[in-house]
Amino acid sequence: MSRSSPRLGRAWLAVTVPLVLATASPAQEGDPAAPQEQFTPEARLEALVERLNAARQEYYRAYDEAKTDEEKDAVFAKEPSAAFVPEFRALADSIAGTEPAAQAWIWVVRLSQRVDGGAPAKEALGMLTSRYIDSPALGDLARELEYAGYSLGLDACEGTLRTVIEKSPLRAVQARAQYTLARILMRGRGRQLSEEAALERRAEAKRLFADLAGRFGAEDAGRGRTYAAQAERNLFEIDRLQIGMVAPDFECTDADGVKFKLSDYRGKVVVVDFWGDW
Amino acid sequence: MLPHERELVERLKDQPFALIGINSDGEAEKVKEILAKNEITWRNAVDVSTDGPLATQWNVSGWPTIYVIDAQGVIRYRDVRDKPMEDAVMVLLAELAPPAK
Repeated sequence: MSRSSPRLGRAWLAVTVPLVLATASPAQEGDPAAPQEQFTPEARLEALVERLNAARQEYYRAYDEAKTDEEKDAVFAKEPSAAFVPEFRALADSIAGTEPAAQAWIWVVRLSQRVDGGAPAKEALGMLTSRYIDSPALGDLARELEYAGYSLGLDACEGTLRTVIEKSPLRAVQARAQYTLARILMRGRGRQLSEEAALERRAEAKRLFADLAGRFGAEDAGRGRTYAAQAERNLFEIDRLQIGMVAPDFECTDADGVKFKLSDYRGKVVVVDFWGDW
Repeated sequence: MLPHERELVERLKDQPFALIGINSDGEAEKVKEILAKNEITWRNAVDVSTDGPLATQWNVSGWPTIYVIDAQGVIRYRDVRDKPMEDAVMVLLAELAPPAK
């Protein structure tokens, strides 16, 4: 079969040989069907993701063991994400029209943002917004696009999110896409923007957050927060935490139990560093 | 981050400058341990967790998040760290220096 690359052939062998040994029966001998097609799309996707995870674990192990910078560079050059892009793409084609196919295309987006200038990721975004616009997995895609602007460009991310907002039949997916679009607009990740353009984008972000709070306010935005709460804190950032604004005061307690306020430091240059030791 | 911050705090100890950590690791006892372990001398607010009240108010979703604030209390830079953070502090300290005659 033309879509079976040598790599996919090996993949199939590695994952399924034990299963075949366990279940082989005379009736299956000489079966002309490609062997992987005995398995459900779900199982095939799961097997491929397991192989990716195993390859990544092996990569992290090799990276930890590398001693010199040269050794680390050599390991780093073999980071496995890019090698799996054709496999996820081939699987998506092979099980086209199924929910796992939508998930396989999302894997292509995840893995290929730095492959061929993001071309496979952009192709995958096109497939997802045309053939898989009904998929609930587009909520995961929307969430992940918040930080993809650096590699895919803001236009690809924003265009995808606008299409999902308009065309997904699922409220949860629409809400997630609108939230992510507003987040990208307020922060402008991945592009140098003029002050005027940044202001215009923050104004649109405000409209989107306000609309989100109105239409989806009580719904779950993840991590036990509602969209109303998330909209409120993002609107606070837009209205009060921009460069050129007087920093909102806060009162807190230090590690010795002493209360203090940010405004106690007026007259000094202050670095406020939100951090954790993790 | 931390080695550079330690060095900067030491070097600017006589200047009108303060580094304030907002720590999300846990309660005060835990924060004290972490400050001791990392030889941190500057003041740290106990914000308890990544969902702490200050991180929530300031809409922090990534750590570290850094704001550089001038002597008038105006936010002048954000998301700068290491050398760019030091450069930002130096610019703002220079604004405070008496004008040259």
